[in-house]
Amino acid sequence: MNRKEFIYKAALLGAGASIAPKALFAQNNDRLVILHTNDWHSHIDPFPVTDKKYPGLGGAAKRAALIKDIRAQNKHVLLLDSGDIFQGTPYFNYYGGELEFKLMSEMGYDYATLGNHDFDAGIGGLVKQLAHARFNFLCANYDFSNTLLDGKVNPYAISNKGKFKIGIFGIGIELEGLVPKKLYGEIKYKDPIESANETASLLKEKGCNLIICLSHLGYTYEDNKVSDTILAKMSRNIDLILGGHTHTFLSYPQGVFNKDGKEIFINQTGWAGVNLGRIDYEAHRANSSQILGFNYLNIL
Amino acid sequence: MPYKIFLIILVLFGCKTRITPVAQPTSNIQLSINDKSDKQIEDIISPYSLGMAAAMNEVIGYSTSFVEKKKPSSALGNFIADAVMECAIKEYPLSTICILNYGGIRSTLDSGEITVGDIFQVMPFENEIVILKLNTIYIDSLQNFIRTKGGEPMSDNINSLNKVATSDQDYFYLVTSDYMANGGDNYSFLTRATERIDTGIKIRDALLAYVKIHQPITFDTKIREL
Repeated sequence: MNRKEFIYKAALLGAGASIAPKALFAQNNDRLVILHTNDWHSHIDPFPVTDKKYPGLGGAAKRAALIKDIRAQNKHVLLLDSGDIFQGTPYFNYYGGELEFKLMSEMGYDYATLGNHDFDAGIGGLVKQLAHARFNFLCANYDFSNTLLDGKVNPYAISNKGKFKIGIFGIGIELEGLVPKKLYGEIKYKDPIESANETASLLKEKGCNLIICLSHLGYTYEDNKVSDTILAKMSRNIDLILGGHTHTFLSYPQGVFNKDGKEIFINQTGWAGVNLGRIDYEAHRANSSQILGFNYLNIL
Repeated sequence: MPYKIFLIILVLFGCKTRITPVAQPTSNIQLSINDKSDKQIEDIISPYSLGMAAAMNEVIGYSTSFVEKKKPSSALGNFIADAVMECAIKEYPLSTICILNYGGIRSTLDSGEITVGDIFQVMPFENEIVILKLNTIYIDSLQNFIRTKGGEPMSDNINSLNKVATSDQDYFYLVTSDYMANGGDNYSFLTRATERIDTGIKIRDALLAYVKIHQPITFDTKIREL
């Protein structure tokens, strides 16, 4: 018996569990690993070692290596991004986002949402680079009718992984006043809370057992501006909000009670690809749910 | 009885799947200096990196200190606004004050040698310098709006605008970016300018020129507020 197992069994005994231990040991098939980034802003190279704030941190090649390791250990991995992939280093000025999309495709990103800076080269500039993206963009609260993006961005997607039927959708920030009109053109912004709840409800109806919102609204604001925190409180059916825009470095996902009084989580990984977010979920039968919420699972 | 067994199986498998998050104490994993790098990805990056290396690594100046953006003002913000103002005033000597937006500063600037690439990181946007002729009645709106924002990078403090306000001038000339002049960052009132001069000069080019002229650049750390 190794140490991990020992602690695990001790925990079980301590809890006086009458539930069969077998149900507690997560099989590979019962675990989903969600990896995510936001606002990586063309930071393809790591920060220089002399950087005062982020010495030697980040870098697409290091992120790729870590993702590969996690994939080697886990059968079900989802890799997501919450927008603002573009703009921030000369790579974007020189190559217009081509390399960013190529690298994300190579790392196996599944889905991303659009951030305000992803329009910095205009809708045309973004559409041009989509040829290099082997992952899909999702956004449920932008109406792309009469734009070049019409039909190229879906509101949501469903991904089946083992016991998980995951509904994923995107929510974008209001572009007016933030992005020059000539860059976002005829894109119409729709109320993010309404769009999010409608989409999440639809995904629930379609039988999703985990619903993820990729948001570029921002974590929280001093005023009443709509944010992930407000969305979380006003939401139904969403389990996890992976945010961006405010470049907020959270150390771990923040719990918020939604409109139904259920605790859901918000995470954001800062910016520039300094951190990779990771959140694991486990699938198990309803009757063993309490014990699986047990803290000792941290050790695994 | 086989029938009974079948029923039990049905009950067990009929249980709803519940999904619960697994608490991870290190949920957001930092990619540190010593972490290994993926060779395949490095190989994809390499030609792109080399393609711009010569231009980006050119050393154009020297900085005496590490600077970062702060509110209400910062040495970095002061430097950027001064550089843009210096460029604008050459083109348009009547320019009163330069005000830019805090969100437009995208990086810190380190002490030591400054390369073209460093300036690209500080100002990656292709924004251009615009000069707006504004009626002096907008001085109040500008002041109030910037106060609610907690400060913006500017080339001067209130003095130059006060001088205009107390003079008999009806107009002042605001040096800013096309982004703000178009109403970006909620500066919608700037779209009501009486006249607009599009200089066609990129803000980044003004910074590059300033760094080349001022050797080394020294920073004004004084607080500038409206």
